[in-house]
Amino acid sequence: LRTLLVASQKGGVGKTTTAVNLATLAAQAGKRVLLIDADPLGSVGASLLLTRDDESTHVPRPDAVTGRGVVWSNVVQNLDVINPYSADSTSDEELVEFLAAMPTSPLSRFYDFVVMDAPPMMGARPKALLKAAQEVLIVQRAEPMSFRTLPAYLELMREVKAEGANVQLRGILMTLPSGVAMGSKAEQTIREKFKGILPQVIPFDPEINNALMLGRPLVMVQPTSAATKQYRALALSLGLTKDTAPARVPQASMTMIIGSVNSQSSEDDPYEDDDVMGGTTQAPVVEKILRAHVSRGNTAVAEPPVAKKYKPSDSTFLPALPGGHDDDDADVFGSPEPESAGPKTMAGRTQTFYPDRVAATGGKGPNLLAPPPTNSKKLASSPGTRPVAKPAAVRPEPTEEGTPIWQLLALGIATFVAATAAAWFFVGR
Amino acid sequence: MMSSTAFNGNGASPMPTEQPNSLSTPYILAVTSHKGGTGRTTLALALAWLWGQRGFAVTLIDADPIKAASLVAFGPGGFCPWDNVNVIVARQGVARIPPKQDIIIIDTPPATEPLAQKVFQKANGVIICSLADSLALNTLPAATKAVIEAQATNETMDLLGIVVNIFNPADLAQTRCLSLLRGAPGGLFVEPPIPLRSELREWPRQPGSNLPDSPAMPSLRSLADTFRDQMAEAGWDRLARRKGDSVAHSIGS
Repeated sequence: LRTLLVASQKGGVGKTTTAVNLATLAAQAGKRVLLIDADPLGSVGASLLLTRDDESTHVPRPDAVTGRGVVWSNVVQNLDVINPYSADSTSDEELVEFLAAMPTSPLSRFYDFVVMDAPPMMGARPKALLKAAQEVLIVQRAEPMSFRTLPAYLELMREVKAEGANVQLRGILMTLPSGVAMGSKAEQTIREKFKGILPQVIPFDPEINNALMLGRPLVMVQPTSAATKQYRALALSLGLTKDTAPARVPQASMTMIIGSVNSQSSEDDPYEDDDVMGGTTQAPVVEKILRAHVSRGNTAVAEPPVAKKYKPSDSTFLPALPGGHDDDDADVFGSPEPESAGPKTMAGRTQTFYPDRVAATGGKGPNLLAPPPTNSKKLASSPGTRPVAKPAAVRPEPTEEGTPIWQLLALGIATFVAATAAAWFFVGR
Repeated sequence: MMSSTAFNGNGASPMPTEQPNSLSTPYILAVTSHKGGTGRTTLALALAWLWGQRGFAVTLIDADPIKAASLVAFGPGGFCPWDNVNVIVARQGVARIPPKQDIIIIDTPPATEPLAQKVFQKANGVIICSLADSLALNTLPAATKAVIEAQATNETMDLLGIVVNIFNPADLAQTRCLSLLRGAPGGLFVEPPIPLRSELREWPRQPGSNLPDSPAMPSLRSLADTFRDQMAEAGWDRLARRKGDSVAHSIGS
């Protein structure tokens, strides 16, 4: 099981788009992929129009890890999306618990890849995610504000590494804002200034906005757009799509595949470098080789790259932030307040507004004063609607053990059947 | 003295909430967003610069964990060189507001973050900075709801409105989203949208430099005036515009 974190210290740089599209490409290549929507805003859900109510494009079911979140299965074939938070909460603790329970959960055995979409950098979440991930891809927009604040995230990674995490930096993905062309001088300047930037770059692509409107991944809506091509090249270089395994493999052999992936990543991984967080970042790709591969459409694996090293004290990186990164104390005003001082949690983060539906219902704009009426809270107070939308179906009471047990049973039976089939197949030969 | 109150949130709450009309208390304005990357920090910085140029004593509190605002506002000397503007990084133990401030602007994390909720408890007004894209339409209701929920415990706080930032009129998807926002019930959208300008994007390249002049300037000045009017209406009389007295008229062109 490979776990890839898509992260950034800054919001709005394309994290969610990157996570959704990389996960989709891996799923299209036949991998079983789980996409974790770790952003309390539910950005992945908002991108794919996944909600906890009957407006959702896919039916939400309780997650099998903590039972608090929801999972939408086969959003794209082989791709499941999970939101680890309960319906009325965005708490750090829930995510931390989820990540702790994930490796031992039966759920994790189903997947080849886990892709995590990171939230903004605050509270306990970024650290917990870095600790839960094996690999991290940093997304940066090609603009000064983004790169000037990058040292804060690298510092956080150093801290997490010092605390024993084993996460590897796979590189920095540059996304271009509107008005900055691919291969432009601005892009070149940033490449010269910062090491570790991947050769793939995501151009500004209006189709991304259109894909969001449709609630579908860009790589499916626009399979040939400029950004899609770059995401394909990136997925290939990250090894998310290079394995051409059959789309569905029996559960019995799944563990063998997972095992081999694990051993490979720990022994043969050319990007492996313990020194990464100790002061060097990796430039894990030889640009020429990869570019040649990409331009020829060659699906072969790139040559093992030469890791470039840099020192943070080099002039290539801007000085660290004044005061450094302060992650633990989340109080603006310097002294703790009672936890009850204000509402800690936010309901309604999965509320979704659909422009098309609004247009269809009279052309009025979104109701910004309140979330749309079809939210799980409302449904809770008005029973009798469609069963799928009932909170009970989404978030079972602790006493209600039927669903998880049913799932475990189904899982067990499926595994048994698959194992028997595989055994029969091999013995029969 | 009310205006020299330490902004330490220790629960004593010597806040202007008790004397909203007092001239001696600063107006506390939280600039927040529904998600990251909306240009919220740039908007907060621009408002601070514009009001500082107008002669108001402005303190900008950088409450974002990545401290983007101070990265832009602090010049080479390690302080903010702008006229009448004082920038404070929260959580460095010095979040003490200088005496006799007119406006406190807080660069606040996205509205649904618990940290933002704490800021809303202190604020007199909140601005939500948004983009005109479909993801914004999906996530804005949650942010708006977060602000409105905070009013349950801070009745004096107003939601001044939603500003659309980094707007590209050539992008059809954006113009469509903007028209949906304009038609949204509640009248929360504040005109005009701030256009996409590379000058603003490149502003952090020269830390401590003035707000770059660009075709976005009229929009920013107009917004600064609009919010000033709203603050004056809420009881901060000294912020009221006199005849012909506005940010738009007081600076250069």
